[in-house]
Amino acid sequence: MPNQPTRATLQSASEQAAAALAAMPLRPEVVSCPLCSRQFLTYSELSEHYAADHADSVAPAAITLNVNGKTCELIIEPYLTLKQVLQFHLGLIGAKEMCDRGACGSCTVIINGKPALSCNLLAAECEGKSIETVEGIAVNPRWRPLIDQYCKWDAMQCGYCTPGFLVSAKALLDRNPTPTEYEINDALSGNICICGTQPRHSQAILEAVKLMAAEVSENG
Amino acid sequence: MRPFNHINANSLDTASELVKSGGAVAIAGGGDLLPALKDNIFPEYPKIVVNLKSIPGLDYITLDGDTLKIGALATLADIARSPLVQANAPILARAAGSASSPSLRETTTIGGNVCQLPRCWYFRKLNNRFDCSRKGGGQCFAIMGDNRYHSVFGGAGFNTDAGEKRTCIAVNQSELAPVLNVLTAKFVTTGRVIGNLDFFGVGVLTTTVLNRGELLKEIQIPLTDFAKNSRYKRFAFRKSIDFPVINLAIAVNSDRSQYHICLGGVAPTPYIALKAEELLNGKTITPELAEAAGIAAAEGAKPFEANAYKVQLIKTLVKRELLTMT
Amino acid sequence: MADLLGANGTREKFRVVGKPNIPGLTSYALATGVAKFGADYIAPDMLFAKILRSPYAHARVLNVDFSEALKIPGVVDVIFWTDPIFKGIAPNPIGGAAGDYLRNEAHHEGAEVAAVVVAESEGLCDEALNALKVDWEQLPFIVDIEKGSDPALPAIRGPEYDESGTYGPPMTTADGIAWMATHYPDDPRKQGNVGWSTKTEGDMEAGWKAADFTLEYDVNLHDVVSLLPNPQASVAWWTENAYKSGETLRIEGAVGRRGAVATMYGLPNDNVIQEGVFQGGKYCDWGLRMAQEITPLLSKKLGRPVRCCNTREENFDMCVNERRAHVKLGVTNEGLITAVDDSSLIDHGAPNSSEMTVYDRDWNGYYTLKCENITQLYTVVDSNRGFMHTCGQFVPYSWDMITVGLYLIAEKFGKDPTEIARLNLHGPDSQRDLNLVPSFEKCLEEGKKEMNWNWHAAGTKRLPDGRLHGASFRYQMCPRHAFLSYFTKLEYRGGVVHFPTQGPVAGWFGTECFTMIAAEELGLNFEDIVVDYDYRAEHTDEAGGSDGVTGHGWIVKECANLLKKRILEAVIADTLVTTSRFGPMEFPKAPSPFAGYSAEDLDLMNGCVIVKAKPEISVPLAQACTATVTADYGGNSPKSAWATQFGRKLDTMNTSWCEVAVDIETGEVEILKYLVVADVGKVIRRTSLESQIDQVVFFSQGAQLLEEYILDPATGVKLNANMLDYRRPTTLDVPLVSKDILETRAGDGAYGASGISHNLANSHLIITAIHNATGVWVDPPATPDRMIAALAKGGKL
Repeated sequence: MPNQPTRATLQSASEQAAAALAAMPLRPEVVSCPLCSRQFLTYSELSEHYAADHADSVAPAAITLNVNGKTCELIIEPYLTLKQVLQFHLGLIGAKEMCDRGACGSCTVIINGKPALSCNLLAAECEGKSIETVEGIAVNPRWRPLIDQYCKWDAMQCGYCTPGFLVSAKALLDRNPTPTEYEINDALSGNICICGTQPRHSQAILEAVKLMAAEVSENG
Repeated sequence: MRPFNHINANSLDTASELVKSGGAVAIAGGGDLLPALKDNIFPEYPKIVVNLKSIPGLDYITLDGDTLKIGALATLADIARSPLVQANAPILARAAGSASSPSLRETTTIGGNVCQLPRCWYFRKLNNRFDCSRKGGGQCFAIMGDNRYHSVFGGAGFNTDAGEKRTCIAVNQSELAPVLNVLTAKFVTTGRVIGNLDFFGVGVLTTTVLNRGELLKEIQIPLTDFAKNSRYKRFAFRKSIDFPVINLAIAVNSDRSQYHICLGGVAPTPYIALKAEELLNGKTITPELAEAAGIAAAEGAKPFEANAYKVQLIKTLVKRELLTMT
Repeated sequence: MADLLGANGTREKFRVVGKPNIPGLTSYALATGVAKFGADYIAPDMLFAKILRSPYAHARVLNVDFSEALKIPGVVDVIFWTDPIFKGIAPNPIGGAAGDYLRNEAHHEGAEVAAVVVAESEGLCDEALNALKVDWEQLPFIVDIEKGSDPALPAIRGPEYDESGTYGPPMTTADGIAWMATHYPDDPRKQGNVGWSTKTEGDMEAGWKAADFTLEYDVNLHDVVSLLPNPQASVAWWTENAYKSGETLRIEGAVGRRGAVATMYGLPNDNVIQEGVFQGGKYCDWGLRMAQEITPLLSKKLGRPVRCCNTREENFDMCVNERRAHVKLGVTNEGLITAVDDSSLIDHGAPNSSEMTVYDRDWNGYYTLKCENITQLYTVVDSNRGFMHTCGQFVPYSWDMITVGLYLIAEKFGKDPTEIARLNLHGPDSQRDLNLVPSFEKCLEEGKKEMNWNWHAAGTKRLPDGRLHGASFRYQMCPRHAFLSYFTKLEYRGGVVHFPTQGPVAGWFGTECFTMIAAEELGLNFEDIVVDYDYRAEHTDEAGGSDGVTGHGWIVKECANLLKKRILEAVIADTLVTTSRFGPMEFPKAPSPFAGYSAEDLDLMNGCVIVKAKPEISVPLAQACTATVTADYGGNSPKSAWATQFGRKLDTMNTSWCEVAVDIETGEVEILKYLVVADVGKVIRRTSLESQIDQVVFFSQGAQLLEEYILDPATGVKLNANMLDYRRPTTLDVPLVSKDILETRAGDGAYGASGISHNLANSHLIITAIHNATGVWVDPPATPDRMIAALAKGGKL
């Protein structure tokens, strides 16, 4: 059977996101040379191997990233973007590549509480920062109304750019829990949806804001 | 993106040394550099990218007496949000808050904004497709090509490292340059302090007068009365993401004896509208004067085939902004 | 009511259809980022591939020195066009290159050509490409179709590239000439780079004679770039098949239609595994990119999984190509059009681009006119502007020519263009039907009311802020995707109705609409039907058009009724069995409450089987029917006016209205109000319709105000092939669109639905409103630079 959900519910999507987060490797399972696949016990052995055998190639760096609250040790090429490392090393595919030049917002993540474009950041320069991706938002019950309203109002068509919009929306609501329609459109103005759902996001977010406010008051 | 090595600099001096020795480029916010690397537009691809963000204490925004001091690595978003900047140099906050898009402003820096390379599409075309004068090549492809976004005040002449004369008609599209100009900012580098009128320049792979390895450290904005009475206007085709097609800053001192007017997007360097300034100095704005100043600002413009509209825009934008300063 | 031939087409009460805010079947997976698109797949031990791209508009690769590239550690292979792996690949049935798969000639800047590099990482692929020393032979090119329209110019491509008979054999072959002679006897043969396509209907001479004056105008439609959000990418590897003999291909990212990849590689369908269903947005751009097709070849050669992913720049193909129409109308003093003469110059783009000649001219706005005297001449020019995959949705339709023509007649008489439209539009049945189309009347009335419509002549209204005010109107019919044959299968098993579909999921929520229709007919809730996304399923809703997949919806409705009949028959059959088996033992069964009834006496309601005459006799479906029952249904919906009549028959219509403010001094155009009144026949899923309107307005606004495909005239290089310089509207740029959705039940789909689909897009609506404001025509996009130039030329500055 296909591995795609027959019918995605908020619960099943959230569980898949949780599974993706759980599967993020805390450290590389094996230290292997990305050029010739030779395996080593430690990063420093790999470094020695590079110095000896691939002196003209760019050697991988050992870095530590804090992604969705989890600290992951990585051995990566220093020219990889955060977007690439999230996908190819950590298995997180929620940040999407569209323009790859900082002009579309599909790869938006939250870094130290602020929205940022993961295609336009070197992963090696994100050490020591708190990185939050759409998967982290998807597993947090607080943001369920937001996801729910996105789905109920079709604030997506093909859905490719949607996680980027959702992350931008979450970053906005973190700072400003009761935004106006203009503030929403302003905060999302770096996100491009090629299907043309631009006018639909503010409606979904405003509906979510109402529900989230009601939840807050219910919970005292 | 083609591979490069990466070094976290721990001081500006070490970064400066690395860049000076060749084969290395400095990265701040990366908003300009990373797309350029992805597009593979440099004639010589850097072997090393030197991270400046690892140098502590370069992203400050402070008030020192009558001077607003902004570290070169302060992000555009932080500048836009800063109560200090909002209170003392509101047009700087406005300009910083209207560059690119909200998310990109969170990581791109003031230093990067003023040092960014030209946006000319011949210069930027993938894989160094056009070996243009700005890369040391012999030709400016825009002069005979599609120059709708290029200079209306002629090209800039400059010399290559080998001393050969070159011309380029790409414009300076920095969001902040016109503002920093009218506020008479000073640019503190690893070696010297440069005044606003001398900082911007045209050369091979540069839009400033900085030498190779010379790095921007701080921007100082004197809090004179110019900063209090000032305007910023950007004109772009979209309300977000776009670089300004034209941007404009105007400042006037309290007795109106001196007007400062600077335009971006119209010339190879930020364009000081001297004729308009002369016309206005000492006067209070009237509708007739504003119109005349608009025309004066565009005086001497020699548009190319596709960009005469910029002359019309200069006249209109200058006039309209002045009319808000009556 | 139009759906009279099928089951329950005139249904009055709906429990599921039309219910608001039902999330899409995969929406949660998409919003949370867990949905996997082609570019998201990773396989263990995966290699990366990149294809060499031409820096020239037209060039041949003579030789590639790859010695430096292969020296780079981590670079695995460089494969050339001469490699045997590229031979014998069949063309992809949904649009793809014929003949040799990879060639050494590139027909536009950025085209895939001559070599593929494979390496351990994408970065190393880039490094390898950079290290290739390519010996290019630059060839003559055409990027200006006006200049290229000279038949005396030497041909820019050889006969091996002639695919001008996409819908028949190539035009220059003997077969092609014979085919053309049969199908389009009036069309002259191609000369050099130029082909012609002509069609004359009615009596032109009589048409001109009946006219009191003639009106001539130009409508220039520029090319618009493909609307693909996701990088086109695939990952492929070869495995042993667990349940079929022979080698099996696993490929992800080549989402399109079942069997497309299998056909290319000559494999049985069952030997190709494609689990991903998320295709990304596709707007009449059906062909797969080479990056989506080539990975099986590379994987086979190298024995490891291979990923190939386009960059944004590499996805920069055309969605709509350029058309410059010169139109001459014969018009009476009453404003009635008596003759139409359209001579258009059309870009044909690079080889294998969508056909723009003989076929498409029939889908046409001219046929909505009472005037039957129509002559059209298309001059189609081969060019090196770019590649357009299976597409061509807007260019040939001639809606804009009608919008502008009716507006100009109105301007001439100082009359409201809605009146001129009323005068010229024919009735529902034929061009000779003089009645007004009821749906049009309704859309017109609603639109005028909501716009507070108050027509003024061009350049006569100034707003309090000094800007000029302009307004415009246009009509179109609501096309429904009813021109194909569709297939649906429903299966009842284990007490649950299953709806297997191969997808793809591309954003039009077709499967959601179908599920709602099936649930309605089966007395179930939307949530009760299990939609199985399975690449092996035959059902696909690829025909597109949010809520407009209505020809298909009709098929689903019939299929659901067939399933229902069979379920009820199974219920009755079960009453005839008096014992039930339990292992080897047989027990007497409790008598069924339906014993003695016939299937016709029963119905399905709220998840239960009931006796129609005694609804209190009710048994939950799963209990009442334990059998497995399937139904399938295929074919065309019985009335598909659009498919066969091209506007000569009219049912559901729509009107669009736009008000703009123009700042003369800056050339800025602001949309003050944008209204779409659409008679969708019947609402199936409301958000789909609203969202479709948002989409087409986004397309229209982008095309008319911002988007422009810019090529360097000297080199043919694409100058703005990226998302910064090619501008699509942001959340701050899109206007608020008012939507008024009417339901006359006059469409040809299920319950009289017709949907909206996308021909709301790309009309000259905004451009016409700008003329109404300024008295000046500007060719789209009306960016400030073009506006200022047009205003200056028109003496308005």
